[in-house]
Amino acid sequence: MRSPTPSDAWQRIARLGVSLLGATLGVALWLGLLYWLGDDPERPRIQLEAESLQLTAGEGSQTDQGLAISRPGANGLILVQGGIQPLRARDYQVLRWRIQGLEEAHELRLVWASPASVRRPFDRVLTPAERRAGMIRLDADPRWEGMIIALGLAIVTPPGSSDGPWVIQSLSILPTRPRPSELMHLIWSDWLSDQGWVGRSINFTDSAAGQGRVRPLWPIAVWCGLAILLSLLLAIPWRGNHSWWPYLLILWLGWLALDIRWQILLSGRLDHIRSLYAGLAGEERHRVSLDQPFWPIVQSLRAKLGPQPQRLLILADPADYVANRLRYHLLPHNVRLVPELADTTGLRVGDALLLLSPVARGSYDPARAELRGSQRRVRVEQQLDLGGFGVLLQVTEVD
Amino acid sequence: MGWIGVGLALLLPWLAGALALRRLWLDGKAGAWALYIGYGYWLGLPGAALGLMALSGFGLRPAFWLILLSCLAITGWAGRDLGWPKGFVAGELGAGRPVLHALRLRRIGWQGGLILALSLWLGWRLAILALHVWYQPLFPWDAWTTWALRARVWSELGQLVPFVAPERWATEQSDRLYTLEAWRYPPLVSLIALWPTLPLQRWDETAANLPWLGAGLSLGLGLYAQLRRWGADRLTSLFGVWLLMSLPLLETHIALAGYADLWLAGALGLSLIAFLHWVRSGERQQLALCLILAAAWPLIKLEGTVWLSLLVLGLIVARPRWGRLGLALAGAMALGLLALWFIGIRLATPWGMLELSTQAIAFPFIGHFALGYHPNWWALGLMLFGLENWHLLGYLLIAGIMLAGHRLIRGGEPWLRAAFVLVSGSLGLLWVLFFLTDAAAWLEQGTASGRLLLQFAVLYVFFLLVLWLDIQGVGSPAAKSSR
Repeated sequence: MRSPTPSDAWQRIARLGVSLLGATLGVALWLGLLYWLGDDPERPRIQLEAESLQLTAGEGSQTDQGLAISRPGANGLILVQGGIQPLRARDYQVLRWRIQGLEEAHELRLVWASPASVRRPFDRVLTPAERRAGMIRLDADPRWEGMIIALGLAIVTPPGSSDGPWVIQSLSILPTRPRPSELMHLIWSDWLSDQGWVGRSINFTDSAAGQGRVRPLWPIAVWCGLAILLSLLLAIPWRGNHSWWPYLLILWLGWLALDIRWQILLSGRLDHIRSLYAGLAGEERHRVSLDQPFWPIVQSLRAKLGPQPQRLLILADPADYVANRLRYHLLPHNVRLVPELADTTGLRVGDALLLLSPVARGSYDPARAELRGSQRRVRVEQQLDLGGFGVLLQVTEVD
Repeated sequence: MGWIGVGLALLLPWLAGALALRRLWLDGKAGAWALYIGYGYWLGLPGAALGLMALSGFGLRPAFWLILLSCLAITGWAGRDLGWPKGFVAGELGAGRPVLHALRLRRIGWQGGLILALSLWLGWRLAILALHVWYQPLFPWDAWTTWALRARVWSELGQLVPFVAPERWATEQSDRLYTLEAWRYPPLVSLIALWPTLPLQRWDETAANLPWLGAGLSLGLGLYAQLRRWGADRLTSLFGVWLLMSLPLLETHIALAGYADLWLAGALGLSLIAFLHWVRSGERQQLALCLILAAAWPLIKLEGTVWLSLLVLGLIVARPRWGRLGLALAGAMALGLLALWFIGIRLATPWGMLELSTQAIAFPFIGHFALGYHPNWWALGLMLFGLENWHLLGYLLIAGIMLAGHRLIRGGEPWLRAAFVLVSGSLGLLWVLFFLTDAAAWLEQGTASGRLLLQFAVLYVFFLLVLWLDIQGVGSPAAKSSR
C-alpha cells in the first residue's frame, strides 16, 4: 500500500469541501422552496367555506353545494360577507373564490373595509380576466392597506333580471409569498426565534413552540445527512477510503451550529431574566415575577395568618397555578389544596380556609357565616376579604 | 454566617468527598483529580444531605454544624499528606490540567488551541448557567410544588416534619403532619435543596438552587476523568464533556434548578460509567463507586428503583462466570412473573398495592400503570429526532447502537456487551413504559418523556465516545496511562 501524498490530502479536503458545499446548497434550496411555497403557521391560508359566509343582501340558503342564492335583494344586489378575524393587508394579497351561476351580464365586485372605512367600505369591480381566473391580486391597489376587518363579494344583476340561482362555494384569502430577497432573513429569524422560558421548558426544548415552518433541528440534521451522503459518494469506503474524519467533522460542525444557536437563545433568556431581577434579592423578585398580580394578596394573607404555622385549606382546583403558588408562598403554614369540602377534607375547628374566586365562593354565605360543600357544612368566621380574589375564613364549627 | 456559610455548605462536603476518594483510591492515572473532584461532589453533598436525615433528631441546624465539622475532619484526615500549599501545587497541579497544559508555549499546537477554545466555550456556558441560577427565582412546577416545597417547610421550621398521604393528614389532624400529592417521592433531592439554606437560617431559593450548578460542573469533571481513564486523550475527553454539557435539556435542568432528574442523571450516569470501567479493567474501586451511587437512585426518584434492573442485567451479561447462573435465575424469575401476570395477583401491602395482571401492574413506591398498547411512534420520533433537547444525540445514538451491535456480532469485549445491554435496555424499558402502559400520555404530552431520557443522557454520551475509542483502537484493559 502506497503512502499518502500531499495531493491525497488536498483531494480529501476538496471532497469534503464539495460535500459541505453541496449539502449547504441542498438545504438552502429545500428551505427556500419551503418558505416560498409552504404555509406560514403565523399567517395561514384563510379558507371560508360556504357555511362561514353570510348573505347580507338577497334571498338564499345553505345547501350541500354551497350558499345558494335564489333572488337578489333590492336594486339587484347580492352581498355575501365572510366571517374573518382582522388581518393585515400586507400579509394577505391574493383572493380566490368559487361561484357558480355567474354570467357576463352580472357585475362581480370585491368589497372590503378597514377600521377607518367601516361606514364607506371599499369596492372594486373585478375584470373579466380576474373573473375567469377566479382570483384577484390586491398588492397594487392602494386602498388595500392597514388592517382589513370585513371582506365580501357583491354580485350586481341587471334590473328586472330573473337570473339565478347562484351558488357561492368558498372564498380563500392567501398569504403573501415572500420575495426571494426576503427568504434568507425569514429563514434566519425563524431559526433564531425563541419564546423564552415557559412552564414546559423543563420537560422539553421547543424554542419556537412548534410554530415555525420547520423545526430548528431538522435543517442541520438534513445538512449533516446530505453532507455525509455526498462524502460517501465521493469517497466510497469499499474502494479504500476508510477515514472516519470527514464524517466526524460534518457531525461536529452540525452539532456546533446547533450549540451556537442554543447559546444565543440561552444568552437572550439570561438578558430577559436579568432585566427583570437584577438588583432584587430573595422574595423581592416575586414582586416583578409572574406572581406580581397576586403578590399583595400573599402579603395580606401572611400578615393575617401570623408567624405561627397554621393549618390552612385552600378551596380551589388542585391544578390551578395561582392556588399552588399561594400554597408555596404561604409556607411554612400547613397548607392543603382541596377541590371541595368533603368528608375526606379533614377540617377541624380553628383551621383557616381560603376560598378563591370564583370556584368556591358561591358556596359561602356571609350572612349565615356558613360554608357549604357537597358533603359538608361548616360555620365560619370571616378573617379577611380579598375582594374579587377570594376570602379568608376560620372554621368555628364543623358538622 | 450568611452567604459564607452557604459557600462552606457547598464546598466542604465536596472537598471532603474528593479528598476521601483520593485517600482511598490513590493512583497516578490520567484524570485522577478530575475523578476525585467530580465524583467527590456526588458522594459528599448527597452524603451530607442524608446525614441531615440521620441526625435530624438533634434539630436541623445543630445537625448541619455537626455534619460540617465532620466534613472538616474528613478533609483534614484525607488531605494531611497533600503538603499544602507548595507540595499540592507542585505535585498535584503539575502536568494534568488541560488549560494549563494548552498554555504551555512549547506544546501549543492545533490540539492545544482546541483544548483552550473548548475550555473557554465550556466556561462561558457555565457562567451563563450560573447567572441563571443566581437571578432566576424558583421556576419549574414540580420544584415549588414538591421538591423545594418540602425543603422550604423543613428549612423554615428547622425540623424534618413528615409529609404524609392526604387521607392520613385529614384523619390524624396533627399540626406536625404535612401533606402533598407527591408525598411518596423520595426525600434526598429535597434534603439537597434544604442543605445550603441552613446557614442562612431562612429559606432562600438561590441558595437552594446552587447545588444544581455544582451538579452540572462536577458531572462534567466526572465524565472527563472517566474518559481519560478509558484511554482518551485530553482533547477527546474535553470534547466528550462538551457533547454532554451542550445538551439543551441538561442545561435547562441546571438553569431552571429544582427538579430531581439532573440528580438521577448524574448518579445513574456516573454509576454506570464506573460499572463499565469495572467490567473492562476489574478495578474494584470503580465497582464500589458504581454501587454507592446506584444505592442513591431509589433515594432520588421512584423510577430509580426500576432502573436498578438495568444494573442487574449488565452484571449478568458482563461476567461470563456469573452469566450462566444469572441468566438461569433471571429466566426463572421472568417465567414466574409471566405466570403470575397471566393468573393475575393483587396484594395490599403495608407500603402500597402490588398488582400483576393483564389489566395493570402496580408496585409499592413506584406506582400503578394500566396496560394497553399505545402506538406513539410519532411522539417518540419527535422526542428523539425533532425537538431540540439533544441536538444530534438521538441520531448518533441509533447509529451507535447499530454499530455496537455489528461489532458484537463479530465478537465484542464484555464491556461492549454490557454497554450495549445498558443502552438498549434503557430504551427498551422506556418503550415498555410509553407504549404498553397508560404512561403513554407522558410521551404524547411531552411531560415526563424527555426527563426520563435525560436520566440516561450521560450514559449515552459515554457509550458513543467509548465506542468511537474502541473503533480507533484506543486503550485496552491492560493499558496503564500515567500523568
